[in-house]
Amino acid sequence: MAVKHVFLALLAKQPMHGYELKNAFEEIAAGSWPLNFGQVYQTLNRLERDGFIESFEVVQEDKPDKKVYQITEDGRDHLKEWLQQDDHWNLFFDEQALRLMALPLVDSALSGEILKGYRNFILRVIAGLTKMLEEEKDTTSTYYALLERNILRAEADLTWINRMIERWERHA
Amino acid sequence: MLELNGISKVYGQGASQVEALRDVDLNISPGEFVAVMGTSGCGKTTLLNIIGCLDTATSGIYTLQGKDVSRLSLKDKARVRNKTFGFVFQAFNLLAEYTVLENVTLPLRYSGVPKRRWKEQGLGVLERLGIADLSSRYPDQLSGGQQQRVAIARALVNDPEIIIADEPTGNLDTGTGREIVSVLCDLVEKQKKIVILATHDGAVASRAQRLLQMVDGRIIDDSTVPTGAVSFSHPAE
Ligand SMILES: Nc1ncnc2c1ncn2[C@@H]1O[C@H](COP(=O)(O)OP(=O)(O)OP(=O)(O)O)[C@@H](O)[C@H]1O
Ligand SMILES: [Mg+2]
Repeated sequence: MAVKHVFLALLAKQPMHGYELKNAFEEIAAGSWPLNFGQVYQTLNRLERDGFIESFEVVQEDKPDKKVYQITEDGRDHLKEWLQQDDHWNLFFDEQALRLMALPLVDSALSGEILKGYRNFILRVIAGLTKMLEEEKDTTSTYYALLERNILRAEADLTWINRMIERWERHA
Repeated sequence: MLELNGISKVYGQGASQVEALRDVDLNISPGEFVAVMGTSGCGKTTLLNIIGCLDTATSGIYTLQGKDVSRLSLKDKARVRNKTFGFVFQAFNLLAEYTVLENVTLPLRYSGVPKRRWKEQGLGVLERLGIADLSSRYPDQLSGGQQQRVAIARALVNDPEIIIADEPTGNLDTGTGREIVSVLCDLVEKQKKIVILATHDGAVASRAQRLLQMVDGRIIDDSTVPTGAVSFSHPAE
């Protein structure tokens, strides 16, 4: 997963220099995904190498010249394609999927504890995300939408883990 | 405060017999917010109804404030129900032909509070829930969230020690549901009431202090809702 497409989307609105891009990106993510400069310039260099963006120097009076990036036609096409692409769905998308594979191999009491432990983790996730959602006052922000998506996913996972616990209880 | 020992509930007879509760033990003290979860038909409503004296156990002992509930006469049981419990349901259950204030003061009529005090007491609780301005409206002139606040006001007007809430957010959107749960949380934190709430909603359950999980009429897990921060990461990590 790369930040490059979000950079392209930002540059499709207006040309920016690296520092502005970093700030704009972090603002959309409400600070929950900080970037370092190394990442920012590495990403920009690759985008430029692939012909999706180009850069030019802006001469500044009393400060060093700054490099400004702008999107190319190829870059716009690439962005549009990415925005409309289907995702891959990773069947084993987190550690829990792997733990599930290990579950039949441990004894029943331990697997009950593992399931309840995960249920408790999900409850804490939901509580944490809900608190963050309540602190985000702007219900139209990207960050708010991101939090809502995560809460609903976690709730679905809670439904699943409760079902697993029930099944374990019936067979234990 | 309340104690269930070996409580069972059987509905129907013979072949169509359903064991809705099987040998349930449970102890709840003042200041506890208890959430009950479990798939449809596992016995949540049955449990809440027995605790709230709306229904009677087939066997087992239910002790409420030191009294054996199964030994109470019907009349005493009704009195205990009105005095000790406030009920909130998924379907709000407001009476359409009464105004908000009349709905809220309904329980007072049955508990011997003199008529001249009804209005003051009803408005007081509406005020606390931030809906005093709705007092002369009829239920069909309110949104779902407002109706549920009115239902909570009605549940609280008698100042009961225990609030029984059966899927109180089931008919509300998530945001409104959250607000309703916050109202219930406040009752526990500030007034040391007991709230017992059945829900299918994880976000609601995560606000409780204690979580009961039911399967086939039994409580299979009774644990403290965990607290403590979780760290959230991003893809670069
Ligand atoms: N009055 C009744 N007569 C016969 N059976 C009943 C009665 N009330 C409930 N049951 C049965 O008892 C079991 C438990 O029902 P209960 O309403 O307590 O479930 P629940 O956990 O509240 O489900 P839901 O999540 O759907 O509200 C179910 O099998 C139900 O069919
Ligand atoms: Mg029910």
